[in-house]
Amino acid sequence: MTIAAIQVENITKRFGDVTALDGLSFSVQPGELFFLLGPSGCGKTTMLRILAGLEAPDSGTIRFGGEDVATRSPYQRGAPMVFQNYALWPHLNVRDNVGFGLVERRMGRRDIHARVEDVLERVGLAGYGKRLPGQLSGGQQQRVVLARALVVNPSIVLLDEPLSNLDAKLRSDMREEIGRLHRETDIAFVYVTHDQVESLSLADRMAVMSAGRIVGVGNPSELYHRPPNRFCADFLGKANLVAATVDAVRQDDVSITTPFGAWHARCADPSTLKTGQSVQCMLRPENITPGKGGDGANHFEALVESIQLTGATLEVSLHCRDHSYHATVLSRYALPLVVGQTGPWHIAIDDTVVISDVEDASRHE
Amino acid sequence: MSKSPSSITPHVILWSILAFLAIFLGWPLLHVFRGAFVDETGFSLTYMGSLLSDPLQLQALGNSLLIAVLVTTACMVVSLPMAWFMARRSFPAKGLVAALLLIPLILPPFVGAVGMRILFARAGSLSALLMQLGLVDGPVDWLGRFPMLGIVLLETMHLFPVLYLNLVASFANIDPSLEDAAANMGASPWRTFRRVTLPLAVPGIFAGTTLVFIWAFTELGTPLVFGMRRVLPVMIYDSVSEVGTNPIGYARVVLVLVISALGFWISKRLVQRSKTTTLGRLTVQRKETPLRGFKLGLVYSFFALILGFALLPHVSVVMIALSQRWFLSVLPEGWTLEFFGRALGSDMTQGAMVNSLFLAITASVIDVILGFCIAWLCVRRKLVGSDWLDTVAMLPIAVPGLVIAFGYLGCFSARFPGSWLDPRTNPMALLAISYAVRRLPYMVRAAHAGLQQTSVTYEEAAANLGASPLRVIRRITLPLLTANLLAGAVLCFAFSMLEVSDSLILAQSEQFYPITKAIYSLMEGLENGVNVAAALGTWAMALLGAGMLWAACLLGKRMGSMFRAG
Repeated sequence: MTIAAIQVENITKRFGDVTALDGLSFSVQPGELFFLLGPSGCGKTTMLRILAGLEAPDSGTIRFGGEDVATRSPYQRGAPMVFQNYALWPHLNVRDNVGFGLVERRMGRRDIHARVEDVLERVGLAGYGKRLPGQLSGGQQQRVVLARALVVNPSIVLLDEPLSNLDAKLRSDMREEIGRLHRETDIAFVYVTHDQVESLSLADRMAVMSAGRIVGVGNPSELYHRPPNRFCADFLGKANLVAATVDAVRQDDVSITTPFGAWHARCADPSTLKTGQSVQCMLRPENITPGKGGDGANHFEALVESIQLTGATLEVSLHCRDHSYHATVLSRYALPLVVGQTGPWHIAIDDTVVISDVEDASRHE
Repeated sequence: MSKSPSSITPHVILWSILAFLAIFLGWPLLHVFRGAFVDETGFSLTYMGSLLSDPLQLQALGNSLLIAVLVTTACMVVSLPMAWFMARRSFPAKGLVAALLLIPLILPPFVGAVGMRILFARAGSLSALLMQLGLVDGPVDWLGRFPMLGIVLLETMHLFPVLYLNLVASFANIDPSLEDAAANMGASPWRTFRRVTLPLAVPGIFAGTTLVFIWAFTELGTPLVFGMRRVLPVMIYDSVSEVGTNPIGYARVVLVLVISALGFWISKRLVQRSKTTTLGRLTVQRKETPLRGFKLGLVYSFFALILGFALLPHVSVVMIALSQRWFLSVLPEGWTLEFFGRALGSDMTQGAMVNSLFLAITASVIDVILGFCIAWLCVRRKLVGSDWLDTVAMLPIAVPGLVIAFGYLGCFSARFPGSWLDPRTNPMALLAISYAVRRLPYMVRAAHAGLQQTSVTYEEAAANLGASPLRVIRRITLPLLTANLLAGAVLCFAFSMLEVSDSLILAQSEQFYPITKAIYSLMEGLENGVNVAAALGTWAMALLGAGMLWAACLLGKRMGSMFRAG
């Protein structure tokens, strides 16, 4: 097994009475694009600043490439950061901003110049070297910050909500740009954001954070389709919840009883389930389909409350046994659906996910 | 910022600065208090008691307080409308007006007083003018008859820019959307001003008025020139000669100190209670309404009136320096450049110029170093004890120069007689230090403001890319703070050149006279002494004017924050 680029164990950080980080552990592999995703105030930026050495943890260990770096000052960490507000020094031009870290590494003037020009070209800013940061647009400033981090050939780059200051169009461009820059290098990126779209679309692996804890780790697809708990289910997308009881667990097949009858379901970690336990069953709206499904599906009857056409899809409100559910249906299914009519609906067993109630507690702490 | 575990340097800096302030601020103050409250039997209120039961002393106290209150009120009346127009309205030549408004600061009021006394004296311009017009029968000594009026006028003309700058800065800092919201809810411009703008500007108003109050309360030169002996500062000056023997001087100094500190403390409390200290970030660009037509004329006349009055002392000083003979005529009866030459010609004046330059430069350098270190420790490091440092460094604002000078004289003469720290032997070291200590708060504020306006992420980004703490300061922090530090230094320099009370008290032999003391002693001296004094004053004005102009260019609107008292 390779040595992790970053190995974080049991990091705790308190600010006065507030516990910002509560025993955080995770690892990032070399060259991996790793996301810390969570709502504001969950401690993700604090974690990033601890990695950079700008904040000291109360306890826990941090290793970069196997080396303990917890006692190192920020300037000895070698983990350049892309700051949320860019932090481009206003008194230095683009070239001097980008070359700053190389000067600190005592590199010769000519080498610095060559490296800076090279990296500026890579981020698409060739010829902008003499501009001052104030003369650049938001997207260009963003590129300079990226260049400033990449130019020192680091093995780790830290990104703190890098796209939050850009408008929607630029944001998606820059998202692709960051993905491209990452693929071209073998640098481990740790990327902090509250935007699940950024995270789902870019991440190799991601950790979902809530109230100073990691509540889910995995690749984006796993976490989205088989969230381990309610928080991940809600934070990564829309989720319908159905109360259920566990009847039996056979490997990855979970038999449950729901208000709609006996269902089969999947679970992120079936080994945690016990027979007779009450759980929630999560259904993504886009997986709920009208009509009778085959053997591999769970069925239920529901009343169509309202239908909204958004273009490619229909947003359908369903009512059933005092609960409302939400289905996103492709528009071509529109014809048989009539508001006020009760009909059969189904969802594939593979898309029916049992999540334990237990983790809910951590949200309200 | 994280603390780098091995670094003890910040602690060393912190404690050396505290030690410096303990020796050159704490000790003299303690000495003054001991002199006022300790006699052979130990703690005693005898001296204070005899001070406060003597009607003569009480009259002096009353006069000083009255002067301070009148000056503060007058400054307010003048500054408030001016500041509002400067902050909210645009009009042609506004930049010029803004620059002219700083000129009053470049002349110590007592030098202006010399000029004014001649304009308004029995044989002066006003008498001559009124006699020519046939309005009075014989010459009248206007200011001799109403010395209090003269003092208040002179000090108001000198001090109103301090309050004005504070007000402009406060008005400029108010989020325009707050005023827009008031207008949107139906408040007329006047009601908006009264209900939103003014309350939000309270911190600046209090900060400015406190400074003006303390300066006016402790002003020594002006009453001295007007021959008004019965005010506290002059009485303290008179007790300098008996500093070792008569404790009543210490009691007077303590009285001044207590009242100044009280004024400062009250204003701080009021500001805290008003809870407007945290001003939001500007979310909307401020639009300055252009003035036109009748209103523009009105505003111009108002500014012209104030400026005309405020610049009268300067003009009179220059005219005296240029006049050959000026007796009972509206304008001088002959012009000459002779005195300008003489002002630079004698050993005493040349020495004074050199002394003042040396002292002011030394004090500014000390202040830049101390001020930056203090602000950096307080804003960026937040070590244990840095709150203390901040409080102690701001203390000199509430400690009049008189008090410090008096304390230095008392403790350093007694403790180190004959050494370089004995002001009676050579006051240069203590003069430089007293200038530096007195101006330290402005420097600390300037650096403080600069650091707070400069996002810490600039420094974090530098550390993040491999710059050690010292390199971060050299490559990022200092370059970003250049304007603030330079402007602070220029102000320290200017105020040091103008320093009156320390100079009058500490510099007792001619070879060590700074400019202000040289001017003062010239005025009393030989034939044409007043003219030479005025010429020397003009030279000093020119020098300072250039300095202030430069500082104003560097700082722009931030100039006002230099005079913030908290």
